[in-house]
This record gives sequence, C-alpha cells and structure tokens, in this order.
Amino acid sequence: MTRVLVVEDVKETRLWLSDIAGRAFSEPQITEAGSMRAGLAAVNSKDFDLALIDLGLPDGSGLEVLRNLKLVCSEAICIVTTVMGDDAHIVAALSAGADGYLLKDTPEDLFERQLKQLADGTPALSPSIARRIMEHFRFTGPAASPEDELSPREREVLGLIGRGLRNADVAKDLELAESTVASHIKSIYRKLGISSRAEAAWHAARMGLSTTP
Amino acid sequence: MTPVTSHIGDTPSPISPSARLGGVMTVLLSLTVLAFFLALAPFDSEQSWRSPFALPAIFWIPMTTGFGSFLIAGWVWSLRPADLATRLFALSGVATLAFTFAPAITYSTRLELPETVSLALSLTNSIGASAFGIAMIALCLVYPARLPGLRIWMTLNVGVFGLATLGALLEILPRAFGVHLITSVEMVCIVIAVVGQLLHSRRDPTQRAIALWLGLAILFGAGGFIVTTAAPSVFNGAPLIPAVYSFGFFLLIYIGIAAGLRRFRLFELGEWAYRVFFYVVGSALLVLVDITLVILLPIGPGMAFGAALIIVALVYLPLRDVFARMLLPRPDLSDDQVFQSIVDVALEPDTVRRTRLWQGLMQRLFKPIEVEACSFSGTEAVTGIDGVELYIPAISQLPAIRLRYPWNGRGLFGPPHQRTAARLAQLLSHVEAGRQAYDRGVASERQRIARDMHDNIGAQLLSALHSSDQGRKDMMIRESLSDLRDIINDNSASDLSLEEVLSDLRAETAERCAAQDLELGWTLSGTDNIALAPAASHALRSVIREIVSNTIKHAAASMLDISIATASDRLEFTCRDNGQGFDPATITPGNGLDNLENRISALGGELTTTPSTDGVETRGSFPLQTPEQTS
Repeated sequence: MTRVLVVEDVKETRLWLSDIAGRAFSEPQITEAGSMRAGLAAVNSKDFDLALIDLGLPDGSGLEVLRNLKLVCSEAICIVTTVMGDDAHIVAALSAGADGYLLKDTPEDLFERQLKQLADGTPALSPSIARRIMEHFRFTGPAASPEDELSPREREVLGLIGRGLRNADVAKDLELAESTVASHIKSIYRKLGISSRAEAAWHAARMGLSTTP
Repeated sequence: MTPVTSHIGDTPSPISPSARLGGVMTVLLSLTVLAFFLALAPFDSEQSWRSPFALPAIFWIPMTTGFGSFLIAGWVWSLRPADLATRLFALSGVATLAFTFAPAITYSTRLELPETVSLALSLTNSIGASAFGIAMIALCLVYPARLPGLRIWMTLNVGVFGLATLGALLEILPRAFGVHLITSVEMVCIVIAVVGQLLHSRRDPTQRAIALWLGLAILFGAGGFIVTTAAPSVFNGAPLIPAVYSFGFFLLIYIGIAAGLRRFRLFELGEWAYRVFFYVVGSALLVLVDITLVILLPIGPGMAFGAALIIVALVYLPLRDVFARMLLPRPDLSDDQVFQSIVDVALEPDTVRRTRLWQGLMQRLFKPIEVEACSFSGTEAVTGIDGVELYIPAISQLPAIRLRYPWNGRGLFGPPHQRTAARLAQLLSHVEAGRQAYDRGVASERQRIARDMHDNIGAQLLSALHSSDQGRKDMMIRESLSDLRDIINDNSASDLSLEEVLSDLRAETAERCAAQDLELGWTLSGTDNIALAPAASHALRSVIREIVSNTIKHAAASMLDISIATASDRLEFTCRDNGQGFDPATITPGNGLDNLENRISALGGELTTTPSTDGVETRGSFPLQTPEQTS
C-alpha cells in the first residue's frame, strides 16, 4: 500500500495527478490538499510514502509542506510538480530535500512512467536544471568541507545531463551501471542541500544572525 | 495686495546675516558702553566711580528701551537688508535709539555738558521721536501690503511731519506746535495706517493676521504713549504715569514684533531668524564673559595668577566649550550617511520625492537658509556672490538648486564646499546612470518576454483554440507551456551553446522514444557556438516533436535517427526512421506535414519528406540569419 499526498491548488490538475497516482501504484491511499494550509494539516495528521507537491499555492509555498513532510517523515519521497519549471524554484526545492520534480504538461503516459521511476528511487534531472545546479556550485557559497564539493564524476554526470542525455545514455557514455548514475544524482541532490544550508548559514553569520558559521 | 517683500530683497548682499547682526551689535554695544561710561565715570577729583545700581530710573528705562528696540530692529534688518519694510523698521529702531539714549545721557551724567552738546542731545531726542513716528507711519503704509495711493501718503507723511519738526525745532512755528504735539499726531496717523492695513487685508487671511499682530503691537505701544503721556502734555495736563516710564511703551512694540516673527512670519522671517539671533547674541555673550573674567580675575604676580590659570583651565574653558557647542552647533553628516542618502535619492522612483530628498540632503549638509530650485544651467557646482550662494547643477530629472546663506547664515560657501557639492552631484549622476541602465535592462527584458510571447505562445494558443483535433489541441497547448518555460528560464539566451539550447528537446525526445522502445540516435555536428533565434529554436523544436510523434504513431519503427548540422549560415536537420513508410497519395492535404512545411518556410527554409518502403526521411534546412533577425 502506498500512501500518497497530492498538494495542488488547480482542481482539474489535482484530479489528474490523483488519477495517475492511482494507476501508478497498487492500492494507493490518496490524500488531496488544495492549499499550503491543507497540505501542512495533512502532513501533521499522518505519514506518507510519497508526495506530489505544487510549489505555487495560493496561500504560500509548497516548499513549506515539503520541509514539514521531510521533517516528520524523512523517508517520504517528495516530488515537486510544476508547470513553469522555473529553474531557480526547482533548485531551491531540490536543496530543501525534494527527490525530484515532474512537469505537469508532460503527456499522461510519460508522466506515469517518470513518476514510477522516481518512486522507485531513480532520480532524474532535466538538462536545464542540471546546468543550473552546476552554476550553483560554481558561483555560490564556500563549501564547508571538501567532501561536500561535487566529485569529478558527479560533475561529468551533470555535464552530460546538461547536454540532454538521459540517465541511461549517461551510463552508456561513462561506462557505468544505470544505478551508479542514479546514486551520483542522489549524491548531487544531497550536496546541493548541504551547500545551500552552508551558504545560508554563511550568509546568516555574515549578517550577524548567528555566531557559528 | 502684493507683499512688498516679494519683489524687493531678491538680490542678496555679499555679507551674511550674522555678520550684519554682528555689526549692529557692535554699534549698539559701543554706544551702550559710552552711555554707561558717561553715567558712571567721575569727572572731577571729588567724585569716584558710581555703582550702576545708583543710577536713576531716567537712565535705566530709556536705555533698556533704546537697547532692545535697536537690537530687535537691527536683527530683523540684518536678515532681510534689501527689503523696504525691514529698512523702515530698522529706521524706527535707529530713531528710538536716538530719542532714548539722548535723555538717558543728559539726565544721568555728572559731566558739565557744554551748551552745544546739550542742545545736540536735545535735538537728537526731538528728531528721533519725530522720525520714529514718520518711520512707523511709512512702515504701516507699505507692510504687510502697499496701501493704495502710497506715493501721496508717503510724501505727505515725510513732508508734513518733517517740515513741522523742523519748524518746531527752529521755533518758527508757534509754541503750541511742540514736538509732543507732532509725535501725538504721528501716533494717531500710525493708528489710521494700521486701520487702513486691516481694511485692505480683509480678504487675505495671512496678511490680515500680520496686519492685526503688527497693528496690536504698535497700538499698545504708540497708543499707550499717546494716552498716558503725549495727549495730557498737549493739553497742558500732567502725564498719567511718570513720563520716564512711558518710554517702556516703545519697547513693547519691538517685543511684540519679535514674538510674532515665527508665528506670523512677519517680514517673511521664520524660525531661522531666532537661530541667527541666538548665535550672534550667544557669541557676544561668550566674548563678554571672557572680557569680564580677564578684568575680574586677579591676574597678578605669584599664587593668585597660578590659581586663576587653574580655574580658567579646569573650570572655565570646559564650561565655555560646552556652552559654545550648545550655542554654535554645526553638526556634520558622516560620509556613510551622505552616501546612503545619495543612494536613497537615486533609487527613489518618484521624481517629486527624489527632488525633495536631494534638496533635503543639501539642507542637512550646508544648513542654508534658502534652498530652492533654479534655472542654473552649468554642469559644475559653483559659488556665487562671494560665497553667499552655491549653485548645484541639474542632474537628470532633478532641477538645479540654489543654496543661500549656509549654516543658517553664519558662514559662507568656500572652495571645499563647492568641491563637496560637485563631488556629490557627480556621485549622484553616476548612481542615477546605474539606475537608468538597470531600468533599461528591465525594459529590454520585458521587451524580450513580450516578443517571445507574441511570436510563439499567442499563435500556438490560437491554433490550439481553433483546432478540432483533440490530440493536436493537447500538443499545441503543451508546446505553448514549454515555450513559456523557455521564456521564463531564458533558455534561448545567447550564452548557451546550440547543444544546450537543444538539450531539453533531446532529453524529451529520448524519453518519449524510450517509452516506446524506439532507439534514438541523436547527432549534433558543425559549428557549436551558433546563436539560434528564439523563433528558429521554437520552430525546430516543434517540427522535430511532430516528426517524432508521427514516427511513434504511424511508422512502427524500431529506430529513429536525428541529426542536426550547422554551418556558418544554415542549419540542416535530417530525421530518418526504419518504419513502414507511407504512400503520399493517401495523405490528405491540411494535415501535419503541411504544417511542418509552413513552419520551416516561415523561417525562409525548406522541408522535404521522402517516404519509402524502408522508412521515412525528412530533411529540412533554414538560414540561421532570418530576415527579421538581421534588421
């Protein structure tokens, strides 16, 4: 049984997402929320295995729901669903712990496929997001420790994805197993979160908000 | 109705108000010291110095009146020296000084005055008293408003009272025409002029308030004098109060006017008039205390001198410093504050507020008495009239500013101030330029978004709206959304390589093919750093999407090869599948193929589709420089 949370303010889209989730998983238990408040309430009321979260909600950001869910139930797979795919917002969501994101204008069959992959723990990155992440590491904040910087392999993976290769193609290109590419991507997500937090702390320390950088 | 002050007094004199007030005080103090000397000094061997407390009321009351009147009149004049009203007011002050100091000296000194000096003092008293009346009548004729028939009244005033005074003094006129009669008539004329002002200003509340206040002050003073002293004397009666006290009435006039300066903006003066006054009077007080100390402290040989030095060093100098600081404030803005203010000025979007902020900064920096927009056309800050004025050039939409009388009229603008102003103006125009560049950037970004929206999204949504095929509708709406994403993320930005521009299309195509177990070959060759116009990349993407859709739907292929090649001026692409092909004869016009051709030919290129039994090959090419782009 999969417990799924769908946070989406557009009613038709919410139904569409629930519908796809209903087909993608066996015996899913789907909870729908139409606002940030409803999403937070749902997160507080019970545990979820998977959440589809829209970022731009009428009463706030879906990021709040995402952070809360990760806090109370760190194993939950959080997927950001977006239509505009604004790179900066997606990178922010990934930094906040999102496990991936899906575009809501993707054709239904493709969307279902990608959703299943993400639910299986196979992360995916779009080229523009990969490029944005590379930029993030190139330009922002000092890394707290060297192991939080991207490894050369991770850079390679990001570079290839940024040029439009899928995980499978990247694996072929680098002569790796597809699962290795997936774990590289997960590691990139993790470091993105670390570096964002480190950067935030660094900024906070610089502005005198906290004493420990 | 026009107040007199608005057309006279526009050309400032090169001397600052404080300097003028200082001059007034110097004259006044010198005369006062002289009067005290004459009253206190011993003039033969039997006499010794008198104590000031031993002086009679006939000394103190006129002296106080003369001192106060002259000081207040001189103060008002020193602030607006070129104004007819303040000049007349000043004249009345001089007259008061004359008719008060003269009797004070005459009746208190123990010196046997020579005949001529006595006569001169007596004449000074009489002329002063009459001149006071003439000046006050004139003042009430021109202020707050110039009364109609001013010229005639003025001539009558000066002529009649001047001649009458002359006649009385030379004893040409009968005995009854004493100076007391003349001054009494003058006082009546003052009252009439005040009533004239009140009538004249009945439609103008501001002027009416001024006329009323000025009138009340004068009526109390002059009227009190007439009722208690002059009138009884004319009718040969005894004064109602001792004559010596009647001098006090004149001081009332001046104190009343001084009190109304701020409340009613008498003579167009405001609060700053008091600041100038306290500054100059404060400075004079400090000097007086210094002199007193020098005189009183036992500066002699030995211990006393040492003790005096210690008192001066430990007590007096620090105290003096504190007082000086209180009386003579000249606070400076720190550089940080100035720069912060400049940025605030430059970033304020509203022009009116920006002008106010900029003038406010100048006000805080130089504390000028006047800050106003002017038509100065220079590009550099310059000082004028020997440092009384400073002109700040106009900066973009900010008007040029003229500053007058810096530090509340206590100083002048010098070269360092000119340099500071020039530097700040420069800094402001730099920051302004930066802001304008930023604004231009915003505008061009908005233009880009509008153009991209119009070129692609509008057209696509329209064709989606008018398409009756559900599948096509969906596809076109998806395309619009993906274009919208491109616009938001600025994926067509020129700093992206062609490979990066096409990377999302590649990823998407690969994803779709993988879902159908269709093997995708993707080759990109040729010049890499080619900028693809947004319209071209949109068209290319939509064409390739449609071809992939066709292959997935109709071809039953297992392999799709897409290659895109660029040369310096053209982009060529080929899509080849290994499916079953189709018979061109079965294709009805108006389907997707037409659509593909249209999109490519809109870019000035061509597209050919070649079906065969072992698959379909679509070849297309278009020039990289579209006609629209070269323009």
